This record gives sequence, C-alpha cells and structure tokens, in this order.
Amino acid sequence: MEATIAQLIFLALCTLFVLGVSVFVYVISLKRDKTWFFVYAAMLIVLVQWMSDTGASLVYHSYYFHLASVILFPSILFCLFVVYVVQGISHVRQMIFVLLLGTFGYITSIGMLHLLGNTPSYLQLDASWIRNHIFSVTAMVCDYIALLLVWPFIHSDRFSLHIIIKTFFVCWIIFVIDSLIFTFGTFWGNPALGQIISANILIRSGLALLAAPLIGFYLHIVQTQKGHVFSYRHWDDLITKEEHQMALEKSNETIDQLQKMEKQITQKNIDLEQQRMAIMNILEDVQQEKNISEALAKDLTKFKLAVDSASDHIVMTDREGVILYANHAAEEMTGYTKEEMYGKKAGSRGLWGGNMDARIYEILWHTIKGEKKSYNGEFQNKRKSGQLYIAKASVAPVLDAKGEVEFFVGIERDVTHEKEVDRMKTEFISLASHQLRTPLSAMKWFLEMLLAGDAGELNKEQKEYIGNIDQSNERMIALVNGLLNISRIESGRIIIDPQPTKLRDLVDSVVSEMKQKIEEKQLGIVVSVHSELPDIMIDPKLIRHVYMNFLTNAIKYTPKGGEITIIISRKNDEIISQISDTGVGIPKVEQSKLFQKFFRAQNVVKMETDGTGLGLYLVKAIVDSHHGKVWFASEEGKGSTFWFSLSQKGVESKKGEVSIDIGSVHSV
Amino acid sequence: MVVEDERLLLQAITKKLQIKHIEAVSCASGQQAFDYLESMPELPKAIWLDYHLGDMDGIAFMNRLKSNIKWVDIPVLIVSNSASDDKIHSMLALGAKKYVLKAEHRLDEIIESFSEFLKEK
Repeated sequence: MEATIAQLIFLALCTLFVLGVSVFVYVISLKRDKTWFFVYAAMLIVLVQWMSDTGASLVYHSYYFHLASVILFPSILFCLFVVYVVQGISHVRQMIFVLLLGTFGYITSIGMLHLLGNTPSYLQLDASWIRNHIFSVTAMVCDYIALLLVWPFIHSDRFSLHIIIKTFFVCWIIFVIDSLIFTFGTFWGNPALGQIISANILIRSGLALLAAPLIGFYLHIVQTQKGHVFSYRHWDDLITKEEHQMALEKSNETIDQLQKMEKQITQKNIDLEQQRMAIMNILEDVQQEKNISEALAKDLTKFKLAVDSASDHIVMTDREGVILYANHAAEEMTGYTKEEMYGKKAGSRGLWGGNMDARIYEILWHTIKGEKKSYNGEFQNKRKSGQLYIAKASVAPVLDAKGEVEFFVGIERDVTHEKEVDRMKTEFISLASHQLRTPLSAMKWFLEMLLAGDAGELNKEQKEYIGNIDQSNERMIALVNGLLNISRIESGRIIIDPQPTKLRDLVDSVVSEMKQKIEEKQLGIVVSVHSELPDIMIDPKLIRHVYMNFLTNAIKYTPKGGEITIIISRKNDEIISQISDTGVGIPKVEQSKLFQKFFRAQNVVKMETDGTGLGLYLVKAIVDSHHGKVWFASEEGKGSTFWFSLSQKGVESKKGEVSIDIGSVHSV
Repeated sequence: MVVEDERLLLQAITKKLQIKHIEAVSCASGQQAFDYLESMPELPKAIWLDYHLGDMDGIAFMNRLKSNIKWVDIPVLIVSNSASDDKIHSMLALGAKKYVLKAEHRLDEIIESFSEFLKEK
C-alpha cells in the first residue's frame, strides 16, 4: 500500500509527538533524579524503535508498524509513569511492575488494533496469529530479560562509560535475538511479511548499534556534566548538581570540620603529652621527696637511736617545760621512769629538781625563755631514791621558723663523781701541800742555820757541800710550788680577783725586785710603757707573776752584758706587753713545745740547771684565764721576744678556792 | 710563844730564836698553847702560830684566843705552808698581824719580822 500524504503527515506528527514527549521526559529528568534517568533511557529506546518502525513503514508502504508503535507508545509511557510512581519501593518490585504493565500494555495495544479493525494480516486470529504472538511474547520476554540485564549494571557502584556501552551492547544483542525470533516466527507464518520484518530488524539493529554507544556516551556526558551525577552506591542515589554541590560543600565542610577536629585532637594530644610529662616530673619529684623523706626517716631513726642510747641524760620539753621525751640515761640518772616524767615539768620538785635556790631557776628560765639562749650550769638534783647528786646541765631552746621557742632540750651529766674526784684532788693538794712543804721547810731552815754557823763554824768543804744541799732543796721547794700552782690552775680553782691595775706599777715592782740579779749579770734593761695606758681590770697578783716569769727567764738565759727590753703598748682595744732579750734563744725544733709542762729546751738545760720547766706553762694558764694570748719569736744565739695581750675590758672576777703561791707576803 | 706541831720545825725555830736572843716557849699543839697561856705567869709578847696544828686549825685557835680578853692584844704571826686568800683574809680579819709562808722564806727573815712585832709592841 502506498503511503498517502495524510499518512505521512500523521506519521510526522506522531514522530514529533514522540520526540516531544522524549524531550519532556528529558527536561523532567534534569530536575528529578534517579529513576527518571531510567525513564529517559527507556524513552530513547522507544524512540529508536519508533524510528525504525516508521522507516520500515515508509520503505514497505505499510504503516502498520507505525500504527502499532503509536498504540504501543502510550502503553510504554504508562509503564514509565508507573515506574516513576513506584520509585521509592524496592527495585525488584519496580521491575515486576514494569514487566506486568508492559505485558498489559502490549496486550492492550493488540486488543485496540483488533477493535480498530486494522489488524494486519499477521495479526489475524488464526493459528498463525497465535504462533506469531507466541513468538512476539517471547520476543517481549527477551526485551524484559534485557532490562533485567541492564538493571544490575545500572545499579552497580561504578557507573562508567564502558559499562554503559557494554550494557547497551548487550541489550542490542538481546534485541537482535528478539527480532530474529520474531522474524523467524513471522516468516514461518507469512513469508512476505517476514521479508518486511527482516528489513525492520536490519534497520532496527543498525540503528541500535549506532544508538547504543551514542546513548551510552550521551548518557555519560549528559549525566555527568549536565545535571545528573551518578553516585557511587546506588541508582537511586542519583542526585542533582545542586545537591551534589551541597553535598560537596557539606563534605568540604565536614572535611574542614574534621581537619579542625584533627587539629584540636593533635593539640589535645600535645597538651596531654605535656600533662603526662608534667605528671612524670611531679612523680619524679614525689619520688625524690619520698627518697628524701625516707633518708630523713632513716637519719631520724639513727639520731633517735643515738639520743636514746646516749650516756647523758637528755630530755625534751615543750615551751612550758613539760617533758615530752626522755632518754634512757635520764631514767637511769634520775631514777624516774619515762612514764613518770611525761607530762610533768622538767626539774620540778615532783621530779629531780627544786633543790636549789629559787633564784637559780629564775635565771635559768630567763635565759632560755626570755633571752632564748642556752643556759649552762650546775644543779644539785635528787634522785627518786632521795639520793642527791650534782649534774652539769645545759638547757637550750629550739626555735621555730618564726624565731619563737618551740621546745627545750635539756642535757645533764652526773658530775657527782667528777666533783668527788675534784674534791679528792683538792684534799690531796692541800695534804700534799702541807706534807711536802713541812720537811722541805725543816730542811731549808736547818740548812740555813748550818750555813749561818749557828751550829758551829764550817770549813770550806763543809760549806760547799751544805751549799749544794741547800740549792737542791730550793729547787725542790720551787718545784713543789710550781706543781701545786699548776694543779690548782688545772682544777680551775684559782681565784681571779680583778682590780684596777696600773701595769706600769707591776712592771716597775718586778724590775726592782730583780734589780740585784740584773746588776750581777751586768744586763742593760729598758722599760717603755705607753704614756696613756689606762688602768685595767686584771688580777695584779697573777699578772705580776707573768711579768716576773718573763723577766726571770730573760735574766737567766741572757749571758753577761746582754740587753733586756720591756715594752707595753696599746693596739685597738688590747694591751700588748713585750719582753725581749739578747739571750741564747730557743732552737727552732723545740719551739713548738715551749709552753708544755716541765719542758726545758736542750740548750738551756746544759747551761742553767736551775729551772722547773713549769714557768711558761703557768704563764700561759694565767694569760688564758684572762682571755689573753701569749706568743713569742726566737732565734738561737740571737735572743727571744715574748708577747702577751690583755683586753682593755679586763677580765671578770672568778670565784675560786685557792690562789697560786708566788711567795709574796701578805700584810695588813 | 711558838706554836708548831712539827717537831723538827719547832726545834729549828726555837734554836734560831735562841741565837737571836729571843726567849720562846714552844708548844707542840694548840691545846698545849692554851694550857700555857692560862698557867703562864707572864703572857707572851707575841705568838708564832702554825696554821695546821694537830688538834685545831688556825681559825679555831684565833677564835679561842680572841675570846679571852686577856689574850686579845697579843700579836699573832701566822706562819703556814699554804696560802689561800680566804684563809689569809679570815685570819687577818680575826686579828692576826701577819701571814707568812714558811717555805718561801728563810728562817732568819721570818724571825726578823717576828722581832718587828716585838718591837712594835
């Protein structure tokens, strides 16, 4: 049948209609997402089919195919509409819908053709018609299989060009197969028609072959550049450009935030690390402190042990004198146990004290609490048993950081025995004093009488011998005197009786006493005393003895014709006395021992046998007791110079028990 | 009067006094001295007293001596071997005229001082 102009126009209008709908769908798909793409792709397929059918119709002057497409077309559209509607439900269901509706559409279209009475021959209801339709249905099934095959690709995570091409190539193969089946079926039924159909297939295939890549390519370009973006996950996840932009921005925001958070976390890590280091340092410090504490505790234990086992009585009291601690020796010495002592005041009547004059205790308290200084003194205490004993005590305040008294430490030593020993020494001294001197005095006087001729005239030899005895006796007396003086000095019992003294007078008296001896040896003597020498509070007897000793030594150890010089000068607040001679001097090797008891240098022992070696020892003891210093310089063969210093302030009185014997006469 | 408990010393003193033409009564103990003092027709012009006597010390002697009005004025020379200041002071306070150390002095020196006493009186 020839196609009339009207048919051609109708054909053109339908083509335009299909195109228009395609464009419409395309535009919609730009705004929408996901499934609309599928819709759009399907529409393109339809377009291709329509074009091929139309072409075939034109070539073979049959518009049946074209008509069929016109009727088929709305049914497909309807399906797609449904697909749009069903988006959101699972894909499997979507597919089922499409299948069912497609089938429905197909049947509907065939039915409409019959109704219109325009059933083409091959669509006549006869045996061949059924045959044809079976093959048609099979072909349709193949179409749907193709769809099924497309689906996974479309739903794959990676939607790329080659997949698209692959997909459509596969679809094309399926279409070809579908068409071959259809063609075969039609040839079987109607060979003439079969020709037409095979041509249709050729065209369709050709177009499909062209179309597939184009579609694929187009899809790719369009979808990636013009509005649709394939997500990586899901067909359904297709999103618009704006959404993509928003997603990008959001992801950028998220990245920014993450970076910020990363920074924060890094910073936090640094902080934590620093804190960790700080804590490690603190732990180290704590460990150090712990070590120090432990060391201190060990030390403390040692000291505690030392104090507890010390042989002196040690007690510690609070600032009111209440006993907080007493060591073992305290218990032993006082006879009271620690428990009896705790809580009571140290040295109170309830314990070992209270036996002395109240004033002594007052002075003690004033010194330790008022002046916050330590007090040293002797106390007579009473043991728990009632036994009295003498204790040498030292009480010291312990001050806190503010300088306030925190507690007192009292240390006492039982010196009863020492006192006893001292007393025995004193007794011995006085006993010896009397005992030794009595025979010595007897000897002295009898010898004196003998020498004076009171028992008869002596011959020369007798005189000589008795003279020797007398000399030896004198030495013994001197030695005894020296010994007794020293033992008195050593026992600390020498009285110091300071008087305002003119040193000048002392020196003068000493010099005049030795005048005879000086003249005998023809020694020159020079005395030079500072013109403004003040009176000084010293014990004149003792200091006179010092001058006497130095002068005696100078005279003794200086050969005939020598020189003796005595100078008294002032230096700052000290008065220095100097006695020099041009005598034999002291050998260097012996100089260190000069002030020792009984020491006499070798060079003088030979020359002058008379000498006890006690003189300088006594001198040093006297000067020391006056808080002064004594020193010397000497060169053997040239002479010696001795100095001693006295403080201008003088010396405080010392109550002793004895004085040294220097042979001076006391008179009223 | 010489009061000295050491026999040898007493002997020496008395002998020397004799040589010096000084008459002396010798007593070997404090008690003997007081016995003499009480029984003597004439009181001694001076007393040479040793501090350490067998039966009493110098202070006791002085106290006893000074307690008797008859003997108060007799000058006493204390001759001793030890010299501690308070002993000296107390003796001098009690009325002793002088205090001399034995071993330091020659006998004739002491006797010289003693005669001074006698002359003084």
